[in-house]
Amino acid sequence: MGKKERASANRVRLDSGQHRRILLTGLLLGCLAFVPAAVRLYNLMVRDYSYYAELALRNQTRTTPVTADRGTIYDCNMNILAASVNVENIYLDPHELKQSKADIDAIADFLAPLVDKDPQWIREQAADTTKRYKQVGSRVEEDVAGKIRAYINENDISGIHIEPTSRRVYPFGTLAAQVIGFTNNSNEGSEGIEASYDAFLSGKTGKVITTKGNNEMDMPFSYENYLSSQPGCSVVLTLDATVQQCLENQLQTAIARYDVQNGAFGLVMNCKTGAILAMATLGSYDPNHYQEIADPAEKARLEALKDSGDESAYQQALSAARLKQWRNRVLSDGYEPGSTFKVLTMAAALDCGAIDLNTNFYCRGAEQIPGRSQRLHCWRSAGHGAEKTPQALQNSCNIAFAHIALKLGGERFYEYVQRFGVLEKTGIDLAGESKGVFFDKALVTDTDKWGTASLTSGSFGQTFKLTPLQLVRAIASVVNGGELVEPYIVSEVISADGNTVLRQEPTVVRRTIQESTSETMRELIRSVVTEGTAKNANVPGYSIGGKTGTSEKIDVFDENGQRVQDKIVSFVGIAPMEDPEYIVLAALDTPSRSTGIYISGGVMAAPTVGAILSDILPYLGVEKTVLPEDAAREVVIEDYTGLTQKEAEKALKALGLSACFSGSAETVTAQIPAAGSAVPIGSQVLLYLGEEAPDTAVQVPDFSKMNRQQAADAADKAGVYIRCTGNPDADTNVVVTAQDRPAGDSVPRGSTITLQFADIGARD
Amino acid sequence: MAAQSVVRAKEDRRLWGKPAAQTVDLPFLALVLLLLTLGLVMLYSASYAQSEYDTGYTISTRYLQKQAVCAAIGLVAMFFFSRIPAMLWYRLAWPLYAVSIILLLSVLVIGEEVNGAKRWINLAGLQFQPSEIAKFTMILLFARLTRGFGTKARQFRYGVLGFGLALMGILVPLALEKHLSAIMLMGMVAVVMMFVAGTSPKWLLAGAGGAAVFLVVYVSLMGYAGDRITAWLHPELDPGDTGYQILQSLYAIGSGGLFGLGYGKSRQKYLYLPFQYNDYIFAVICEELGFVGALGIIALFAMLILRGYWIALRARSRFSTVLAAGLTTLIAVQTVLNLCVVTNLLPSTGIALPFFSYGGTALAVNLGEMGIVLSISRERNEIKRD
Repeated sequence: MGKKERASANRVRLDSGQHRRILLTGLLLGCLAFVPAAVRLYNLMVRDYSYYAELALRNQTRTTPVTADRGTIYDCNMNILAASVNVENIYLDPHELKQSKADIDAIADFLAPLVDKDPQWIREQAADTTKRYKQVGSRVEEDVAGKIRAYINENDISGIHIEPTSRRVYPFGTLAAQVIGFTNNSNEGSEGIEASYDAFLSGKTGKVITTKGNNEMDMPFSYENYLSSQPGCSVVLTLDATVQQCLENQLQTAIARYDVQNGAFGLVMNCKTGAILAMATLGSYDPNHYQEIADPAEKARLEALKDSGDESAYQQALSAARLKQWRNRVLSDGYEPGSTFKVLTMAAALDCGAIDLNTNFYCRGAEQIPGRSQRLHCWRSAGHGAEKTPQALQNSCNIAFAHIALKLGGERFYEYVQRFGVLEKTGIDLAGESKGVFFDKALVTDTDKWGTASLTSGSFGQTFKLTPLQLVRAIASVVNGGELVEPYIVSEVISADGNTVLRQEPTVVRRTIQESTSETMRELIRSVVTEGTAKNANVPGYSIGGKTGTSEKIDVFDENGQRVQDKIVSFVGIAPMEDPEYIVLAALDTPSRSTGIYISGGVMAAPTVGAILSDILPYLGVEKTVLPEDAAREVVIEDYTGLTQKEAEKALKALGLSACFSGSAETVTAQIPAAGSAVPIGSQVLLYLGEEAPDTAVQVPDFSKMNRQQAADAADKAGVYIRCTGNPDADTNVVVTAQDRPAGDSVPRGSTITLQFADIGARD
Repeated sequence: MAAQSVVRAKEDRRLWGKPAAQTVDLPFLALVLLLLTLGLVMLYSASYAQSEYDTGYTISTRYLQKQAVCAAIGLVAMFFFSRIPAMLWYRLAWPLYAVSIILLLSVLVIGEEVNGAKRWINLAGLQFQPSEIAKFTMILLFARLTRGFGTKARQFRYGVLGFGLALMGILVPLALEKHLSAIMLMGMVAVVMMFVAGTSPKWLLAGAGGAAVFLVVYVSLMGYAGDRITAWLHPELDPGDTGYQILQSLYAIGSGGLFGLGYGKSRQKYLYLPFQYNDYIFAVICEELGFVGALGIIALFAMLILRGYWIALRARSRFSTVLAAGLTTLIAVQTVLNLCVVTNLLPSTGIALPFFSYGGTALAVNLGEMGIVLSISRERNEIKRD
């Protein structure tokens, strides 16, 4: 052990290596080790400050949307068709529930019945604790939300939240559902007016921007910015709920009466202005529950598919069924107009002078038309014989119209079709309009190349498609003096403070035919009802005009690739013919053969339109002209009890009724039928003198296919009275097509059975 | 050999003399007190929102109160230890080492679970973490071994096997507790102390490499390696869950800017940033005091650490030197690791910031350790007087 070591032990006890190592350690851990962190801090806090500051601000601010009140939809009489009511959404904050150690099971059991969900499902939602928002209750009513609120307060739960929102209510349910549309779960308009006027109805969503601590903790250095919402405008429709109801009722009646397989559609429009009074597609749906399939048969089919376990097929079928019931066929779907289109062909031919009222035609039932490969058949195989122009329309004669088309020529035909707006959308202010499918111009004009098949078929409304709305608008122009109008359904948009934001005025798009042609056409169209295939549409006291149509579906095939014989029967009615105000279309898609009633527009659609017109014309204030022969077909009997035999007989005679007495007392003690019943003139009233009216029931006879006389006899025999509606003619072709009580029903003696008569000879 | 024992005897004589009357190293004491004060002040701000929330908006100082009590205990311990000659600890090194292993093992049996980890022990109503004590006893034992090994520390069987076995005595129970952050911390402190003691750097490098391999295997066996690594490298991929903690921390730090939002004005502490009052308190400091304030605090730590090593260099015995260096290293490694985790330079592990993070045991033990360093600083002055 040398001197060196001793010295070092005295002075410094460390060997120099250790000394150096500690210095090195100090340099490393006391200086260098902090360099990465310091550089990192510089990058985060100085270099990237704005980036992180913005992220932090976004992290700490909450933007809460403030939903605007959605506007109301009114009909033309300010009946509410759609309105918003306040409801609440219930959501869980699973993260918060977990932090507050809430009793999930108890909460799930409590909430489940209130929000109509399975408790297990709610537990699953609450278990997703990484999420802050799990909606468990959608649009619950305020009283339910109140119960939940009380429960939250009572049990001091944090993690269940309630947020106000609104729900759309449609007081009329299925009425005009496809026109009104509905709003989706986000309160955005889907379909119909709700969609096409969404910008007006929805208003402007406001928002509250706040800085908030997590878990809704208030922060002392926070700010709040409030952008208020603007309530939406209300929309007033030209649609009239009463007219709409009449249209839908009669279409529904027709669906039941003729066992219509594929729904019906119809439309009531003002001929002069284009304002839509009613527009219906049946089967409809209830916009209050727009996801549910309204048609019971369709629903059953879907349930069966669901039970079969093929989930994807079920979902596909379900969404297809929804889209189908939401669809407004009046403006979205083209169809073959059939003979209703003949009105346009004839108007065009008269307008340009291709024919006049005295042009002669001859129908043998079938004919080889030049340029057509197939023989052309008329609907009446026996043929209509010699006809002039009016008869061609009245008889709806295809042969005559083929000749009219040839006289008119492809160029002019196409030009008029264009003028009538068949090639364009009508421009109605509703979403989802389409424009049908018409021939290429060359197909009808270049007859040397393509023959005359398209031209002639087109002249009577076959082998092309247009929407019901296009057809109605075009026919309206034929009767209103020649002006093609733009249909519209919203008359006014009113802001929340009552100012008119938008007012729709009638718009004339173009002239289609001359005023004088229109006048001629009015007479011709009237004559179809008085003389032709549309007698069933007649409404006593009104001058109705119209045109029938029966069209085969050209593009529907069965599973063997054969064209199905399904038909759409339709009728376009106009009233009053002297100065047309209203035009009505009713179309029934695929009436069933099972009813035994001949499937044609004249037999099925014409009486339907007749019934619609007889319902709406008095309501709309169209003056009724009472003609003598229409005057008193039936009378209302009074109360004759207490009168003597003589007095009663005299009173009945004054009404055109006869009496049959039974008993021997002085005065009438009972009568059949009861006072207030309507009975046909000439009926016999049973009066009892001192006796009680026998309380016997009788069976309703089967009146089907009976003519007027046969029906009266059968009623007499059975002891019931009949009330006759529909076609008033005494023609033998006019027979009962419907009765309001089914055959075989037991009814009290003297009951009145309402019978619907129609001319079954109207085979187009 | 003989010379060595002579030196040791001289040391013993000097150090086991009458209680030292000399003053402690005042700059070091000032730095400790300054950091402690700043720590409490910042803890109040950082824990304010959480305290309000946890007490139903009634008390804002719940965590500050507990921390202040432990700080008081720690100050008493610091004062007391600063007056105890360092050689006392030399005698206590083995017994305390044994006790801490027993405590660590007993945690496995009677430990209490907090935040899903079983690391706490309850002795007569006093809840504490044995691992905090184990850190100290390991450093103590290393210092004692260093003195015993002397220059033999260069040999494998002393410098590597000897220290290694002593280290394993602590690390094995910690591994059983799955206390990964403590294992990492202790391992790093041990490596630094072995380097100071004279263990050949080649062994240390090999050991560090082996530890790294072990760490990778261990972490993958724990089963959450993938998640943690992804969350570390790309926290933005899962901002709601695995990336949440680190993203919130970065938002806090970044939004502090150059001068910060001002004391008490952190927004992230309003329950956005989890652990904002313990492991992630530095993020709140950055948010409130800005880059300038954060650098200031880092500078204070750096000065404390440098002064600690300075004291170690001036100590009168090899034991004191290595003990002071070890305790300083403990503070340094904790500080550096915490800063790296908070700034996402390293994946998230539970390492507290000394003097700042909420945690009573750690604070009291840290202050006690600082007392020992102060006591060692006194030795130098004593010698000077001679």
